Amino acid sequence: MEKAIETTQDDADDYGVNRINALPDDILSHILSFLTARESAATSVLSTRWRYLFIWHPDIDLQYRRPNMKLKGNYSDAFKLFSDFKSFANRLVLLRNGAPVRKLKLSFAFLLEDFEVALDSLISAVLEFCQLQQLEIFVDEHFLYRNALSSPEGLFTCKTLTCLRLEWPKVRLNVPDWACLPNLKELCLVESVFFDDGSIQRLVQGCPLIQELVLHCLLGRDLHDKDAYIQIEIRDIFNPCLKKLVLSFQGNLRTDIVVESKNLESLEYRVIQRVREHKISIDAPNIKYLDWSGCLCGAKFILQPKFLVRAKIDLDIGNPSSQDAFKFLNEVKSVESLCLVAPSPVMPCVMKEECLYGQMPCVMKEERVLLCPKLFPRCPIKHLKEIEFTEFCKCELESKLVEYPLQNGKVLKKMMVGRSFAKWKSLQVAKE
Amino acid sequence: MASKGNLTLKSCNGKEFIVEEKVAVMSTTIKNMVDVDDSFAQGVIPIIGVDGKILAKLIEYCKEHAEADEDEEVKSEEYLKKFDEKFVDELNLNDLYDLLKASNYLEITKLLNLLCQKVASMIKGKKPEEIRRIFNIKNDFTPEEEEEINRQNPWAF
Repeated sequence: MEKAIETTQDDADDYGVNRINALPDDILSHILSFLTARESAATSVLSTRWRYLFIWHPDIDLQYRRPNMKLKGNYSDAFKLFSDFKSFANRLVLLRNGAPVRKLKLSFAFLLEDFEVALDSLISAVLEFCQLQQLEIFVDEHFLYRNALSSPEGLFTCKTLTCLRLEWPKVRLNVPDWACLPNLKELCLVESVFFDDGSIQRLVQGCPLIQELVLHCLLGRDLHDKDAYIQIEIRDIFNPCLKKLVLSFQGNLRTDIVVESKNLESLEYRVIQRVREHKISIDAPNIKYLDWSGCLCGAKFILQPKFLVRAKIDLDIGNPSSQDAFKFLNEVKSVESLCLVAPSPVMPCVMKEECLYGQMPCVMKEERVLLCPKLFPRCPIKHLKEIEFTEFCKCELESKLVEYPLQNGKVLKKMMVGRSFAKWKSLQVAKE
Repeated sequence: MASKGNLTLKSCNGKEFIVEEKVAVMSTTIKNMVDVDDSFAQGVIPIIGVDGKILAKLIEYCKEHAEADEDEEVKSEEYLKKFDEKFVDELNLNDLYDLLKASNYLEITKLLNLLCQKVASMIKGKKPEEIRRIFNIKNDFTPEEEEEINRQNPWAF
């Protein structure tokens, strides 16, 4: 009691000098929200006013980093630090006494397998007691062990979660049969490992309200499972709200993907490195944004390209699927923005290598210009408003390629040409 | 109520400012007042607890941002970022506190975030002693209490 009076007097004396303490709790708490949980907790020692302020912000940003990387043989440091981290995190959750957590962000570098149990119980506790809405976990790839950690169990049954983001290389996701995240709207998994072939499918089907699904799969590098096989079916009956889908595959794996979605607006699909065998069938009549990189063989589309607003297509035109690409492009009508990215040097690859001409009938050596309508699908060129060329390898045909849309693009308003072209062209003009 | 009319804001020390409505409604509080009651739009809106100097600062900030929201080409994101940086750098601590309270009361979220971030950046990476010195915070813990806090959060220090 005595102490309380003393403090008030102090504050009154200091008014005008010690003004930060006079700010309301919610402003101070808002200030602390721009710091990590650790930095924010460090302010508890400033004065009695600050002692418990760090607890109350609904967003928690916890970072664990082992500072000294040189201690390879001696883990005791890491254990001590993790144990401090663990008790801090648990205390924070306890002190909040069930107050809802909007967002929990966990970042780790140099995580050891021995931490698995503690980590699981921390995540489970927040999921269970804090009505968590957003969970983000980032793990630095350079950790010292090779086996995958398992994910905590409650992760797949949390009713309050709306956003789940795991950038956790090689975490093993064993999705149970009863997986259900009834309010999840955003799911992003980067380099997760799936326990079995059905895990990913069970997870996707357990999220009835999902709007945004991002999957980056990396397989076949140093995992035992060389026959990795990914099968995903996304259909309206399970995921009727899906608007955005990003699928990215890297490494030696087989994929079989079916997308049947009326509401899908945006699709990003990338295959990095040659995938052994991949099939994808897309039935998304209302798609607006398409970003495709990789070959088109094995791909089946049912799109109504009339709705397409923006498309970016990155193709290996040098490989046999180029015919498919041209066929596909010819079906794309009235797109507002079409970006064709070809791995350099693709243009010379089309134009110089004899073998390719064989695959393009009606292109004679002397009539190479005819390649242009092949590269620029016939229909879209009439509607294109903007064209950008970036890579050039300085051969005569390229200038024809640039001239073609200038002559044929009826509503063309803007054409950007890469700097290398301008330099080279101005050189040529100078020569002439 | 004219949708693009002007509003008159009056500070607690009696200074009046005539501002465009789009600038004034950057404040959610003022927006709600104008939406609910037309008489505010014609008359004078008293801004309780905010003096003329601070209100002028608030209006300066809102004007830049309202114009940027309207026309992205004239005021690019980069321009705004520079403006924001300069805006907070020129504030002394007292102005900072006054603006924090005013932007909180008037619900100018963007500005509140900017100011809070500024204070957070002044705390970040500093020892408790330094933070106390910067903000004139008096350590009112007994040595025993301080030791207890340090013991409770070994990870934080």
